[in-house]
Amino acid sequence: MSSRHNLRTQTLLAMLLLLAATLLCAACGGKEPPASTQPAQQNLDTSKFLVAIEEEPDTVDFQCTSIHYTIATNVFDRLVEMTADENGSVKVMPSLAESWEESEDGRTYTFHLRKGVTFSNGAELTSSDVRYSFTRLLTHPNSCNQDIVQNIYGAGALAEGKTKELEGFKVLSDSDFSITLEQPFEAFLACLSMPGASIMDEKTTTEAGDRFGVDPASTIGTGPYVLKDWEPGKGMTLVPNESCWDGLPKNAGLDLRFITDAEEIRMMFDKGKLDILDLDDQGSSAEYFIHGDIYHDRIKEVPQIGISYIALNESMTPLNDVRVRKALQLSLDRASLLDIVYSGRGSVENGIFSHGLSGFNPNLPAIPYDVSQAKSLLAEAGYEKGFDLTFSVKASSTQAEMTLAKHAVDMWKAVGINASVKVIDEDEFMSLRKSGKLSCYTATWTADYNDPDNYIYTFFGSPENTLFRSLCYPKNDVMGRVRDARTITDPAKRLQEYQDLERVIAQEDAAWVPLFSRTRLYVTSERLADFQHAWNGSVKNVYRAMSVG
Amino acid sequence: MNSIRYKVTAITIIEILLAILCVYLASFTIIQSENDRRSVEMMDLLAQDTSKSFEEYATGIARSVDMVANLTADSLDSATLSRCGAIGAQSDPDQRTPEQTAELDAYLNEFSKRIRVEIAAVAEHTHGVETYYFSISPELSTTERGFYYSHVGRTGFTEQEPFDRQKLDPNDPDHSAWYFLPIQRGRPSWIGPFPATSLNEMLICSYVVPIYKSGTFIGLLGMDIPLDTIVELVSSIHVYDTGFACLLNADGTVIYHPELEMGSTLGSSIDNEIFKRDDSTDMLIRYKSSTGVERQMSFTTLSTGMKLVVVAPVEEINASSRALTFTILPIAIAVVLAIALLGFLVTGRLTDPLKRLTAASQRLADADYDVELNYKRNDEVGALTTAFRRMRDQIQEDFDDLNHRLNTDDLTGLPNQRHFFKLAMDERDRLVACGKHPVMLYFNLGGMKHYNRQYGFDEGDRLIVDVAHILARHFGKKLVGRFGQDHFAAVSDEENLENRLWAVLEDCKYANGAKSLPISVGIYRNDLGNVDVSVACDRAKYACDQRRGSYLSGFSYFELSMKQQIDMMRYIINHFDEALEKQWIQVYYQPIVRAVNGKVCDEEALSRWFDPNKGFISPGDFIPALEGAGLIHRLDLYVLNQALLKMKSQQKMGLTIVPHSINLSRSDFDSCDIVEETCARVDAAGIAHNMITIEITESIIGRDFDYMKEQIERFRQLGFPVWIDDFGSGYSSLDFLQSIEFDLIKFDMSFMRKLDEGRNSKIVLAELMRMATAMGVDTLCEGVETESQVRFLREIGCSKLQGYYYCKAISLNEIAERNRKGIQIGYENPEESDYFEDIGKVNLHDLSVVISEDDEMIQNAFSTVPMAIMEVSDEEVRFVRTNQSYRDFMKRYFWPSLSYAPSAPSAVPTAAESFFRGHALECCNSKGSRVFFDEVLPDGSTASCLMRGIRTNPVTGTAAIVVAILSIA
Repeated sequence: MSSRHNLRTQTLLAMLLLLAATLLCAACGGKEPPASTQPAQQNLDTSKFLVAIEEEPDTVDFQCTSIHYTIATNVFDRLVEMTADENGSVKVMPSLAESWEESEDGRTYTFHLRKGVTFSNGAELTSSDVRYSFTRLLTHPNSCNQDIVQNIYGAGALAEGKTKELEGFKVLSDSDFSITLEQPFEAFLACLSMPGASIMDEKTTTEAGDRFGVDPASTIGTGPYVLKDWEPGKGMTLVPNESCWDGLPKNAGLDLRFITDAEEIRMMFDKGKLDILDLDDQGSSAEYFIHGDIYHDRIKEVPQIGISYIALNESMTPLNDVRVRKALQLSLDRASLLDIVYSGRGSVENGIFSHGLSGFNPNLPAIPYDVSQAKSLLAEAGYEKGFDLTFSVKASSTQAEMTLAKHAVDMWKAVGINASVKVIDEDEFMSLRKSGKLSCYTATWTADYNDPDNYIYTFFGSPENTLFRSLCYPKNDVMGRVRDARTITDPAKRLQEYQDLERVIAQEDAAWVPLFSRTRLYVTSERLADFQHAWNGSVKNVYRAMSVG
Repeated sequence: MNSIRYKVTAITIIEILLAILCVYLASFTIIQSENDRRSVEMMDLLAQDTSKSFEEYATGIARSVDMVANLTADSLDSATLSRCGAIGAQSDPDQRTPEQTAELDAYLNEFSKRIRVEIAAVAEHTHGVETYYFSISPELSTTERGFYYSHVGRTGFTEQEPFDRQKLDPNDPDHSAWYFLPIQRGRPSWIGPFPATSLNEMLICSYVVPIYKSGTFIGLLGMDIPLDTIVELVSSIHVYDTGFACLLNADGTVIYHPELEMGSTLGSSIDNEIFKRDDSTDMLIRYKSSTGVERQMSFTTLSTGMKLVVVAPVEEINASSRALTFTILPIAIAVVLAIALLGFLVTGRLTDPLKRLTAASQRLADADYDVELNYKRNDEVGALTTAFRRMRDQIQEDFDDLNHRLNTDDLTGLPNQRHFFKLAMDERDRLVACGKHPVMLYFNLGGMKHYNRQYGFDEGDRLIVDVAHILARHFGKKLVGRFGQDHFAAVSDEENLENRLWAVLEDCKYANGAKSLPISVGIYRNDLGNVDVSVACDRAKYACDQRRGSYLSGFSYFELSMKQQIDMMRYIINHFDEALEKQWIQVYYQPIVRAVNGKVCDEEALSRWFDPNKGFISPGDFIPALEGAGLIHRLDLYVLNQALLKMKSQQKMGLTIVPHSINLSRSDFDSCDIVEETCARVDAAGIAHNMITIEITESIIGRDFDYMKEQIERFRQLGFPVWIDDFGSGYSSLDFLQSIEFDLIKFDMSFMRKLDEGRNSKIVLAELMRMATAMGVDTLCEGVETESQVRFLREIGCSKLQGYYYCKAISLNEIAERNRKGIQIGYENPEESDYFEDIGKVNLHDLSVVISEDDEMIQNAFSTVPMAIMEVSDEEVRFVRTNQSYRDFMKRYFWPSLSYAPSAPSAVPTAAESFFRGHALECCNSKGSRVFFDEVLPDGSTASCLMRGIRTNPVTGTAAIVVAILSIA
């Protein structure tokens, strides 16, 4: 009662004041109150931003990361892009390079930059920026994507510090330059579409130094978005690059949240505060989206161009025995694994080139699930009683990977192999892997560009590469063929060579255990109107094409 | 009058009323909406609070089930399930082998046992759990159905028969929704309330979690809570006086409501669509209950899907705002009254000075400049008052100034004529009332014009100011007025008047540093007739004017005779037009006779006024009167016209005509361009210019010398002879004779009157005549009446004569008459005029007329008698004065080389000394005696001489004698 009374008194007082003020105003002839000169607080209206989940990276410097490319693909552009054409075939399409010519010997490419392209700070894109980007890619101490331009003439010398200039790169004019390769490389253009080959502004990046990729203001590209804000632990805000040569994105911006907790993500999504939910992040809760009729219409199935595999380190005994490796292949019920881990959504793979990739061989013989043959091979190799095998899993792995590892180990156990899952810290995992010291682990490779080379060269292209993946494939001749295949200009011959190599490496040499390619599931918010995905099944590089209502 | 005060007050009241009305309506609306907002807020809050406390409870349950469900899902062995064909792409129950089925059943049985342990532990520690269960999908196993536990009494959970999925009828949602709904949704859900078959249809809510493994539905894990638990919570809520909370289904049907049955709806006026919202935050929802009471509600959705609704009657919600509104009303009225009063007072304060201003302006309009304008506030009215005061002061000042100008003479500061009359009248009346004898005095300075010419106007003004001050001092400032130039008037009383006037005149002698002028004073004694002051003034002036021409200060009284003169003047002026029209004025002609031949050589045209009332009016009366009235030019031109008519008619008749002279007055020259007018008329008449002679009196020339000289020259250049009339009548100045060229001097008739009185007159006239002749100017004498006068005049060479001796002025008729009788004097033949003119000019008293220097014939003759005055002493004889003839005589007979110093007396040469000495001595010895003697001259001829002693110098003893050589033979 007393509070109501107070309210009444206050209101009464206010009314009297109002009355007095009105009378005063009337008496004064109704003078206008002075207009407020205070500018409205400029808060970025993110209500129309597309909201997605992002894993917080250490750096978005695409030259120095092999994981985080969201900024590279949204804030930066490359000379060319991989795009599916009308027929669905994925091809190299012009991007910053408007056109190019390839020399007859296939070694020299002359590029012509698109005119009038500027970085979001207003600086004009020039040939010099491209040279700088590639030079930095080769010389940056933390660079991990040298492969992309390793083929350029003089790249090695530059990387080793023997020269200061990238010899194969000739600036012809502000918008024209030529790149000469050590030897012809058919996938060179495709390579240039990789996020690591994004073009940076020489001046800004030079001035930024270490801040590039860390400080939004210094991370300047030509792409559809500008990295506006990066709040550690919270997220990144990307706003449209008003001067983007390729036009404005369909949405008002990107609101990328650094959230890792699946339940938090799920609740956010349930409340409509997240536009794209990657069910890979949801573990067993993904079931709640898949089943029932609530999200039925908003589930997007996207075939992922990639391959899940189990790496076997040939530098380790007994994995150096092809029989042992074959036994490991045969003893895995990969279809069952796909069922268990991904509810059967995907295709079992038998080689290197996954479904959907240019060079996929549908006629490749299937690797059977044959426990008895596996056992016999083990016996043949002298491991009737099995052997110890450590299946390493990094702590940050998805539940699916964990489950996969567990069930793979169980299956191997079934043939007598004393396999065990070992969860190790990510850093340790990576350092062991890169140094070729992991004996067995599982991973998924997603296509960077649509060329068999992207798979085979990455894993089996060189001793370094194979070591880097802890595969430690020993056959230099085969690896030589992998490298040589790059230079084969006849597509048919080249394809044949790749398919031969795939068979040799994956089946004859059983260099790894091919598992499956997946169909990924995304759930979209009600307001997301036009869900898009890239040719390789990724959504993160096509945010610009999605609009939110 | 519609006072601003009432207007402003009325406007203010209306404004305030409007304002209050607006504010009242606004506040009513604001209060209403504020109240609505607050009620919504409060009820929202209540609903949310209640919901929260329920949610805590419900979430606890849900968490427990989720936890166990996750555990369950995780602990399911995918490998086994896969192996048994329960999961994966090929998980078709019909494809399962018996071995697989058996293994699966066994696995599920074993798994179920494990799970019930887990969930039991959780359920035991979760408050309010009524039942819990695990229901395995019939797709997996037909035999293994899971488990079902319920809370019975206080003994804790007791296992019951598990649900048989097969027995659930999807068409009986009340009893089967708990199973199908979670599957349909694909995710954990609260279901209910629904009646639990196993619990005697007790209403429960169930949290059910579907469990999936590798994409396969395994079963449901759930916990139930009794609806009563929720109802208990809800029913404890109270809002306002009778407000309450209720529970509804998602579709709006009642689950719990203190007034309604389950399954009914809140009211027909409410749209159940609204319950599709999660909550009613910030929404004002009102509806009419089935009993017709208007209610407001807020709701929130519980996680069970039920709607928790807080309901309150609108009446109660609005009670506070209504009370508030009613509280404001009297305050508003009080404010209106207070402000109206205040406004009335304030406007009163504002309009009061305006009222005073209005009153002041009205008084100003009535020319009352003494109004008080002392409102001095620094506001618009203050400014208006100040401006008004300034305006008043300015008007007053201007008015005073104007008055002053109207009443006062600028130069002297004395009252002007108009004002003086008023003052004088008052004074006169006052004096009369006191038994005194008022007099009107009129002052006129003599010769002001000359004074100004001589000293300049500044000096003249100074003199006037000085005189004004003197008069003011003597008579009082208010009793003296200045009428113009040098005319003043004063009013005084008769007592001791003359002494006082002499004192005034004495003072005036020293005015302007004694550079003063004589003052004439005219006095009108009021005793002569208490006339209007202006008349009295006229009369005083008239008396004053009688002294015109006097060079001494003095005064004269107005006498009754003067009154007659004035009357006459007035009559003349008033009847002038009539006199011309009725030919009372006639032109008479007096012949002028050539002295040498006695023929008429000129005629003077003169006007005569034969008045039917007054008889003959003398020109001496009407001419000054017309001059004074500025009418004389009309008379003079009339005379000219008549003369011209006469000449024309004579011309026509072939008669001889002689020049006619007309008289012009000074004021002719002022009134018009008389030269032009004359010339035009003469030309129009076709008469030669030299036939009209202009007579101008000597006196008028003197008054404006240069101007008159110019006019005279204009006449003469046009060929009109100009005569000086009345020469010698007043104080003649010979100056003008040297400066102005004219054709004839007409000697005033006074000369004729004096001619017989003594020889001086003759000498003067003779000398003047000689002078005129010497100057080549013709002469005329008027007033010739006797023969002796004629003879004398002819002797001294006066060429023309006029007077009664010959003929008086006569009319045309008389001329005709005389002609008829043959007694008219004959006209001189104009062709002989020049001849006779020259004859007449010869002065028979002067030999020079007949000789010239180189005339050998008369070498021995002298132009005059040789005469000399000598001083004779014992020692010598000296010439004191000699004339030319004497000097010629001496030269011729004694010393051809003799020269005389004109200044000093020179000694008589020895030769000549002897010639006179003896006679001289003789003469000296007998004083006053004359001696005639003859002496032989050196050439042998004899000179007859006359000598007379004059006087003897008493100092030196020298005798002065005069000697004349009478003849030489």
